[in-house]
Amino acid sequence: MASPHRKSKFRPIWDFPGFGGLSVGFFAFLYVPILVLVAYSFNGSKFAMVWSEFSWRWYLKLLENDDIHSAAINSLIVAFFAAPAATIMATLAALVMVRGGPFRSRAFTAGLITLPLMVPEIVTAVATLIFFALLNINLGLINIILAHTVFCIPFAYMPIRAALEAMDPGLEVAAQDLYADRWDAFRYVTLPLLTPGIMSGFMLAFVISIDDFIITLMVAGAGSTTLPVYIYSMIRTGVTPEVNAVSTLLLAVSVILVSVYWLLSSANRKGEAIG
Amino acid sequence: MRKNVAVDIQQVTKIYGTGNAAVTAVNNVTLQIYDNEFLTLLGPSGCGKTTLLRMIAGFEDMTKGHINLFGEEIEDLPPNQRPVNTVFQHYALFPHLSVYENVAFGLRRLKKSEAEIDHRCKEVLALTQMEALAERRPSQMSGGQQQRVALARALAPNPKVLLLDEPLSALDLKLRQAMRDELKQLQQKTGITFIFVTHDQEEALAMSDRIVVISEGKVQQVGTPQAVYEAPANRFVANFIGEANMLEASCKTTGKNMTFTLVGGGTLKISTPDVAAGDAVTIMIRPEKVKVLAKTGKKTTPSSLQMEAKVIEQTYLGSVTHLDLACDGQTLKACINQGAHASFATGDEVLIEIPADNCRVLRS
Repeated sequence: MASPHRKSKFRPIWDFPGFGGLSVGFFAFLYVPILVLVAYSFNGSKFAMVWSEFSWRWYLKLLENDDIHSAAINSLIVAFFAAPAATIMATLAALVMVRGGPFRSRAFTAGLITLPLMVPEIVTAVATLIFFALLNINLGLINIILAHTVFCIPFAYMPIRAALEAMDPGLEVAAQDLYADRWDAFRYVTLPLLTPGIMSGFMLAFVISIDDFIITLMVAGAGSTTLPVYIYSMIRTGVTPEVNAVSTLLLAVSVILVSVYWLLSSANRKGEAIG
Repeated sequence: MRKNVAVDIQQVTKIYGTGNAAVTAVNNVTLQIYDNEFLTLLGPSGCGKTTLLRMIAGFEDMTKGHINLFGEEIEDLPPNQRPVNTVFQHYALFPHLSVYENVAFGLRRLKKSEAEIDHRCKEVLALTQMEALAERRPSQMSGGQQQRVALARALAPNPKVLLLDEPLSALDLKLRQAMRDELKQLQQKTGITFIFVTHDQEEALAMSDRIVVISEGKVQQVGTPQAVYEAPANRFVANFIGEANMLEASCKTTGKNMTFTLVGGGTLKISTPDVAAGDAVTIMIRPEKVKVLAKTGKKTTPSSLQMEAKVIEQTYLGSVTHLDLACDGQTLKACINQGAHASFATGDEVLIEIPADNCRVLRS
């Protein structure tokens, strides 16, 4: 511990003038709009920007809105199919890239897997729309699930690859030395150790899928509207307090998902440390 | 008594890469390792000893040659079908499993019954004194404890041969010395053939029944610790194991007792079978065999060479003192017992005596 009397050569970052104010400003810019949105979702007034009283009114109204229900259910269906599918493919891709040994065009493949992260989403969206139109694939939600699976793969891939790269390949060698064939080594050593990474990939894919607007807007046909697309259509007819309420719910789902994951993984870590 | 061969290594060669980039890691090694033997593969890092071990375990393919295990060819078997287990340098314990489950891992893959697994796990955990920590995770243990778990895990399936890849190198000195004795006892208790890889000559001398000295992919000498120390086969072995004084000389006469004339002057009569007159040779003598006498001292042994020397440095090490002596333009090392001799100071003129019986003639 550095004593306050002694001058250390390396000053702690908070010693710099203005650092505190700057960070407060930074976080305010990030979170104040969201806090305002959440607060106003409990606003009893009919006008979105005028506070009158605390009320559950808009949430109750949401309950009565069948369009929002079906949009929310569509979003969940899409995410529940697309995120696991993308996670499985991302896991397989990571295993090949990290444990597959050298193969021709390995670097090229590595780039190809993560390229969709760099491609402007509107390009992917238009391309996917044209693709479905050309092949005359018109399966409603399944179209969205297919599109989401594809663009969620690189998101799921990044944390899984990182986890696999951090894992000691010597452990798999040790498993083989102890009479495990390649499948057993994967099942009893690689997979359990990779699970936290796979879970992170899954959560990321899930949130990205739930949240996606541009691609879904292009691909979604009539009757397969998802929640973000529906919220957008609500805003076009004016910002109602209902939009605040539905956005707050969406936010709550994301926060709960991430918290559950964080609690699970930290409980796991504690188990390792204390036992 | 005819010894049973556990591992028969026949003309094994391993070449990494091709063309100009090809590196020969193991060069035509032939070696028999006996059943119930503690054998050490000793050599500097990069000499090919670990590659040889990995080929026995099945983690590396051979470029040429054969390896038989108790008379059976194993070269086409993948590692998980070879009845050998490995203690890895960094232990490679499974972090998500308890100590007990780590030890049970091999037995479970062999589809043993639960009762058998439990019995055997308890047995090896007792053998390695780790019963009390059976429910711990590897991350909650010290290096020495992890080392024991790695040993228990590799011993649990009762392998025919146990491979140890520098398992002590990650431990601190005190623990390393304690583990030496323990490993040796464990080998004797279990009767399993141990093949131990190390670059530490002290470890090799302390534990092994036989030592295989390897350099640049080739076997330099195979023998008991005494044999490799006292009768090294060549300059490399003499220098790598212990300290050695090297005196250049040439052979003068043929016959039973040949006379060797040192480059710096002086002669020694040594009986040695395999040199001919005119050969340039190196005469090796261990520092503790060099006798150091006061300038006025008398010759103690008749068949020894006596030379004048000067103490240029002395290092006090408690039980012994190391002396660096300038003698005929080269530096000789001597090691004298504390108390047994008069002490010398830096700068003292002394007489040194090189007893012929303790000299070893090496081909240059």
